[in-house]
Amino acid sequence: MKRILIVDDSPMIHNLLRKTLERNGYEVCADATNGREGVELFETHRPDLVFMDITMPVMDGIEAVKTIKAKYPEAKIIMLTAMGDDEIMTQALEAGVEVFLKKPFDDYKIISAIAKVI
Amino acid sequence: MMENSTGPAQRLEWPVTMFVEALKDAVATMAGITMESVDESFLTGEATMGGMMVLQGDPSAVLMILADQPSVAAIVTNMTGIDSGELTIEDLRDGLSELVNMVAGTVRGRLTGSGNRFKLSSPLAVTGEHLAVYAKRHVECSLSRFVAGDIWLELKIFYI
Repeated sequence: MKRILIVDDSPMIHNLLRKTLERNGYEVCADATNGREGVELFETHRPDLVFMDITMPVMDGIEAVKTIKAKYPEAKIIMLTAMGDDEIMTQALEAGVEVFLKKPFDDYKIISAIAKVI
Repeated sequence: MMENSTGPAQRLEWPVTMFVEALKDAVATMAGITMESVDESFLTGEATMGGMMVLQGDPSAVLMILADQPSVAAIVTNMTGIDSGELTIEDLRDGLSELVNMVAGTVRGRLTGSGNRFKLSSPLAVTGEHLAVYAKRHVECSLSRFVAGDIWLELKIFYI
């Protein structure tokens, strides 16, 4: 079973995303609420995939992606954010994310994105 | 004190329909609830929760989504599958903050390339009885109301 790390500062998004992922046969191996914690949990769990928010306290998602990708270029990361403008999407893609998804989301959007990555 | 005017606005430069569509889309996609627009005069209950963000641009504005606690609980329950009785007030604040964040972020994204841009603050949530918004000078405000059964939401844009 593919293991996924969720990095988002919203408990509601964690709950919703976890249910979506588990319903579709994925395991959520860890939850982080900011970018720094996300980096730490990535190193601990080495998940198959990361769902990463952008706007978070302590360390934002763009910085977290850069940090993870610098050490683990093979890491697979999907950016999932409400900040859906081109400038931010460009920053995310330049940081190395595989897919950029805009909230709101449904099962189809999430599962289709995963299928492109792993 | 400044009252919030809901009358004919002189300067409503942000495309209100985009915010309305974004709100309906967010609630439908995330919670599976179809919110119907209703007339401004449609009587809703008293708001006890609000999610807000500052839109910094030309003009600048405060975007607010107001509702009562049962409406927010119903939406968050549909989003997460968590029984409404198990939701904490923090869950409801988080849910409403995420909702306003998605609405503002969606509109910001859709305005990309239009030259009509704004920066966004972090989302905030407020709770309390008799929730109302006041300012020290007159500000224009657009008001949109939505219902789905017993669930109701108000979307307000205050031009500051």
